[in-house]
This record gives sequence, structure tokens and C-alpha cells, in this order.
Amino acid sequence: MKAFFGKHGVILILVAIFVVIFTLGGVYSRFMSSELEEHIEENATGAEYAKYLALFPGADTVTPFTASTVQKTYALAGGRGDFTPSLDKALKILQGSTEKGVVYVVSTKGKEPMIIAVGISLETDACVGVEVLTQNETPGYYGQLGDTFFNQFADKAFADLALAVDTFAGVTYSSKGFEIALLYAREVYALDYDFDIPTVALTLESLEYNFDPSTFIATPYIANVLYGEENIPAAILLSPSFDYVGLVGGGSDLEEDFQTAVKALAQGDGSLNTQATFESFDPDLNTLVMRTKGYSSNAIQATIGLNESLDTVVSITFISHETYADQGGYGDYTGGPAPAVENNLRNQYLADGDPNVDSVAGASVSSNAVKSLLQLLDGFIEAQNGGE
Amino acid sequence: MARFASGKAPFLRIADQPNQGTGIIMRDFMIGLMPVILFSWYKNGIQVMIDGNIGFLEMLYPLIFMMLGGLLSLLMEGITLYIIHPDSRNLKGILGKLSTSYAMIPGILLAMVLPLYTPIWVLIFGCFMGTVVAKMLFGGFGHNIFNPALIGYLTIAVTLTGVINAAGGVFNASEVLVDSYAGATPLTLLSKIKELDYDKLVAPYGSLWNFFLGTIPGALAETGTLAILISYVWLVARKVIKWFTPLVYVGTVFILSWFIGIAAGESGIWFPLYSILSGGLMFGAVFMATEPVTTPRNPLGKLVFALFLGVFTVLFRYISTLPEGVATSIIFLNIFTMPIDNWTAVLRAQGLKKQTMVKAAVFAVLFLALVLYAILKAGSMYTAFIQLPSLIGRWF
Repeated sequence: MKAFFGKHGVILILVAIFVVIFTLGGVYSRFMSSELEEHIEENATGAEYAKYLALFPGADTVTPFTASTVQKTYALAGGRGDFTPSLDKALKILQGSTEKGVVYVVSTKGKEPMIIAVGISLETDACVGVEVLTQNETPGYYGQLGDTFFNQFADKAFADLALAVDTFAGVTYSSKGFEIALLYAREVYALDYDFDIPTVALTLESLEYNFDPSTFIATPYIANVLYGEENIPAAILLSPSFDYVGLVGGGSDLEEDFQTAVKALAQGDGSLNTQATFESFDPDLNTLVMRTKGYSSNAIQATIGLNESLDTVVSITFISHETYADQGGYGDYTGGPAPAVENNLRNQYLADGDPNVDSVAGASVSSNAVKSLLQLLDGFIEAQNGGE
Repeated sequence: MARFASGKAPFLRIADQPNQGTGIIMRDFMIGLMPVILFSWYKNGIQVMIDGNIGFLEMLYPLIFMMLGGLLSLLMEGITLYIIHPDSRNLKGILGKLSTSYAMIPGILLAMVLPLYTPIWVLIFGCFMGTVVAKMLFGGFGHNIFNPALIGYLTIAVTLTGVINAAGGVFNASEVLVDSYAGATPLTLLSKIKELDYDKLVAPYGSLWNFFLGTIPGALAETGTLAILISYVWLVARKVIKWFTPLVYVGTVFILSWFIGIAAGESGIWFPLYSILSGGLMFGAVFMATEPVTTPRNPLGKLVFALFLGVFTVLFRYISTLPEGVATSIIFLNIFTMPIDNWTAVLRAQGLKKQTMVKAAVFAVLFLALVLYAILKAGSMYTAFIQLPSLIGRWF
């Protein structure tokens, strides 16, 4: 053994030192990397918490807590089905040891999934602001949401029955995502802090278009509801923004709580496409004027000539401010200037009377806009024809 | 370098005099490294701990990393000596050889030009390539053709950059939080945006003063220009390096970058300053381009070597996938050290005569051609301003 170490001792020592450096050095550098990752994560969390603290003047501490579990489903905008939001995390906001508020981070959905933090004041039972943590909405639309939109969340009382978000024109999908987050946060808050969500005995049976030419401009929608303890049926005329206007055929007005409830339910229903609207109807000439919103909410107006019994479309003429440039980033439509696409779709409709026309390649947004107009027109004709 | 004694015999070699010789030069070289090592430790360790972003053990890491580089290099040379010298396989024999080969220096230099979050095993790999492959396989100290530290560095840069980035990369724990850096060092930024704009290239890092002090992101020891200048003064004063080599190298990059700036419509002096204060140029000019074994020995050779280094550094910055250019140009020119040394020795000895004129003309034409080519290859920066060079540039 002694002879062995005498002969190979030097190389053994050198290799042993090398192995020690390799092992301890590896541990050391791994420690450095993991500390850095932790440090970046802590900093990111710190930056996120700083946003929440800014919602509550004077607050100094953010503490995570386990919130109540709520399972609730909401209708997405544009009749795209239902969505069940979820709670990502819940945080208490403290000033010293006094609890000032709570922040619920909600996974919601606009056009795409979004994560929105909702700050709620315990003193006022109101939303004090929202923070968008992640979103992947269409930039052209989402970018239009400015201070006016976000300021509405600064003091939004949870006692408000509808808790509706004022939709920004053309950004309905994203706006609905915010509303879902707000409504869901209120549900969780109600369980966590014994808050009573205002309720009213009213059920929305169905929501439909108003096809009466004498009233459809001011009141384009009709809500069929059951209200009160006795479930009294009523057909309610609603404004373009779903405000209560009156009962179909007149009669005594509903109480204010019911009016508010109708608006909230109609707004949240999402079963109607509100892109196309009626503008006017001339009974002498049997001419109907309709409008729809194309790319970037560009106006597309259609003047529709009908026969005397109002059950057949004779002509459709478009006045369009539409642009077909790179709609949705899929390249330009090159078939000519507006209303080339509109006329293409019109011709399809006039040929077979089917409003579900084939979209024009390269102009999908314009096509969908015209399609919604034709579907509404089809409904109008059917209604004039007694549903035949 | 050829020296001729003109006095009376007996003649004594300077290297044999007290306080002279390679051992003293290497001692002075190590002392010269100290300001840069200390600055690097302060910037990446002490200051970050003062910021409250790391703990004590992390604060020590930059210093330990650099020391470890030296130790690993020493160790690998020791093991190699054991293997290739069967007659001296004992501690005394190996230590004797190690004491005259300055084995620690390549490892220290390598560690100094690597990012802070380089894993230790990557450093070991770099030390192996530098010490064993680039130095010992060529015959050891004094026989190597390439700069060992830079061979280690380039091997890592080409093969293991992804590993280093995954481990944390070049930014220390304070820099990684600065949003304006956007995850890029100054030269990486230049290679990405290819646009001469002070607000985009300099402003995110503060001002040129920050570049001079070294408080910008970069490899462990490459950013501290002020510390490197202190080392430069020391090394020149101790006659370890020639004063003009770094000056000519950096000056060439400065002037060439100024030309490129002017051609791009940006005549401000900030761009040439940015070019010489970014990346490892200063570090390479003082510590690598002056390396006694792998660079020319006569003064004219050093001058020519430095001039070509400057041109190649600018060239590599615009044609290479690596944004730096310093290491590549030094390694590339290491190949030509001997011809440069031989040709310039003749030129120096004989002066500009008919016989030597051809050699001088070859150097001059080659240099000017490279200068022109470098300016053309930087054409992507100023295509909008000068059409002709960019058009010509497509032919190359």
C-alpha cells in the first residue's frame, strides 16, 4: 500500500482535488442559479403585489389566503357558449394589522383567456380597481380600451344588482371578460366576507329581436321574463344598450329592481348578435335600411327593397366604409374596393335566399359582419310573413 | 525581439539579472490583474449584496470563480505533466515544472471573460481546452501558438452558450431586474437592432460614463474600463507590455467605428466611444493582445499585429454570429504571428529599401483592403445613407 501511494500518490492527490472542485463547485454554481431564479421570482411577485397595494392607499402588506370555492358559469359575448371562471389566488391587503381589502385573481375569458385581478374594499364593499395580469386579445381591439374604460372599476359598488361593465364599442368580447371576472369575484367575496349579493325574483325566459318596424329602432330587443313571487310573464322592450323601455303593448311599468335585473340578465345572455341593427323603415316604399359593423367597426349600410307583402327581398344596395386590408393578419382581399365583398355575399343571398352565405377569403371580418346583417334581415322577413 | 549588445564583453542576459526574467514579468502581470479582479468582485458581488439582492455566499462567488479558474488550470497542467513526463512523476518534479510555466494565468483569464453564471463544469471544460489542448499539446509554456485562455473561451462560446444562459447568463442579480437592459448586453443590442441610435444603444445603460466605469452588463471582468486602464498603466510602467500595442488596437477600432458612424449619418463621437468601451475590447487589448508567447516580439510586428487586430475586431463584429469579435480576431491573428514577426523584423532591420518595399506594400495593401471590407460589411447599418458601398458589399 505504501509503495502504491509512493508511486501514484501525486496523481491521486491531483485527481482527488479535481473531483472535490468538480463536486463542490457544481453544488456552488447550482446554488447560485437557483438563488437567482428565486430572486427573480420574488421580485416579480413584489412587482405584482406593488400593483395591488397601489389600489389601496395606505396599505402596506399583501398576504395570500385560501378563499372559498365557487363554481359558476357565465355566457360569453357573441353567443360563443358558456364559460366557467376560476380563482387563481386570493390576497388580503393589510394596513398594519388592519385588513383593508382583498384581491381576487380570476381566470376569465374575453376573446381569449385572460387573468384579471379584482381589488375589493372591505370598507365600501366595492371594486376599487382591476389589474390585467395576462391577456392575449386581438391588439387592434383591446388596444382601444383606455382610461375611460378602466376608470369605471375605480369605485364599482357590489350592491349594484347588475354590476354591468360599460362595453367599449367594438371591444365587446374583452369587455365581457372583465364583467365575468367582476361577477365571479363578487361571488367569492360574498362567501368569504358574508356579503349579500342583491337578488330579485326575475327569470329571463328568452331574448329576441324586435321585428316591429314601428318600434325596432328605439327598442331592438324584446325580453320575455317571469317576475315576482307569482312568476308573472311579461314581454319587455329593451333599448340598444338593453335598458328597460317598457312593456310590449304598454301597461304599468316594472319596479326599478326588476328593470335593473332585466338589463343585467339581457346583457349577460349573449344569445343575440348585436352587430347588425335596423336603422329605418319606409312603409310607402317598402324600403328597409340596416347597418352592421365591419373591420375596426367600419360602418356598412344596406338599403333593402322589399315587395309589397314584405316577404321577399327585391334588391340590396350597400354603402360601405369597409377596408379589406389584412383583416386579422391573414393578408389583403384583392377582389376590388368596397363594397366588392358585400356585393358578393348579397348575390349569394339573392340567389338562394339562405342568409348563411359563404365567407369571402381574405375578408372574413367583413363577411361575418354582412352575414349577421343578412341573418337579421331573414328574421325580419320571416316575422313579417307570420313566421312562414 | 532581437537585441544587439554594443558594449564591451562580457555580455549578460537581462533575464538573468536580479528582479528580471519571466518569473518577475508574470508576478507583475498577476499584480496587474488585481484592479480588474477586485472591480469585478465589487461589481458582481459586493455591490449586489449591498443592493440586498444576494447573500454572503453568492457575494463570494465571482472571486471564488476566478480563483477556481486559476486552480483548475494549474491542476490540469499538473496532471498533464504527470502523464507526459514519466521521469518526473513526483511532487517535487511536477511543482518544479509548474513554477516556471505560470499555469494559473490562462485559467484566471478565462474565468474573467466568462459570464457570472457560468456553471463550474463549463469552466472546467474551458480550462481543459485552454490548458491541455491549446497549451500543453503544443509543448507547454512558450511553445503554444494560440492564446490558451481565448481557445477555452471560444470553445465555450461556440458550444455551451445555451448552458450558461440557462444557468443565469451574464447579468448579475441586480442587473437582471433592470427592465431597460431588456436582457441584452450593449454589443448584443447592436447586433440585434443594427441601428446607430444613442437612445437605443447607450441610454438604456445610463451614459458613456457608466461604460467607462464598468457599471454595465457584461462578462465578469470585461466591463471595468477604468480598472483595466489602471492595470494598463501598471503593466506599462513595469515594462510587462509595450504601451503602444493596446493603444494602436483600441485606436484602430475607434477610428474605424467613427468612419462607420459617419457613413451611417451619425458623426457623433459617442459611437466610436461606445464601440471601444463595449464588450471585451479593452480587456483583450491590455491582457490578451500583449501576451508575450503568442504575439509578435519585435515592436514593428506588435504594431502591425495591433493594427490588423483592430480591423478584424470591427469586421468580426459585423459578419460573425458572435457579437464580440475580440477573441476571434486575436485567435485568428495568432496564426500569423510568426510571418508577421519575420517580415517586420526584416523591415525593421533593413528599413524601406527596394527589397523590403514589396513586403511593406503587401502589408499596406492588405490592411487597406481589410479596412474597406470592414466598412462595407458594416453596410447594413447605413444602407439608407450610402448606396454605393452597400451595393459593392453584396458582391463579397
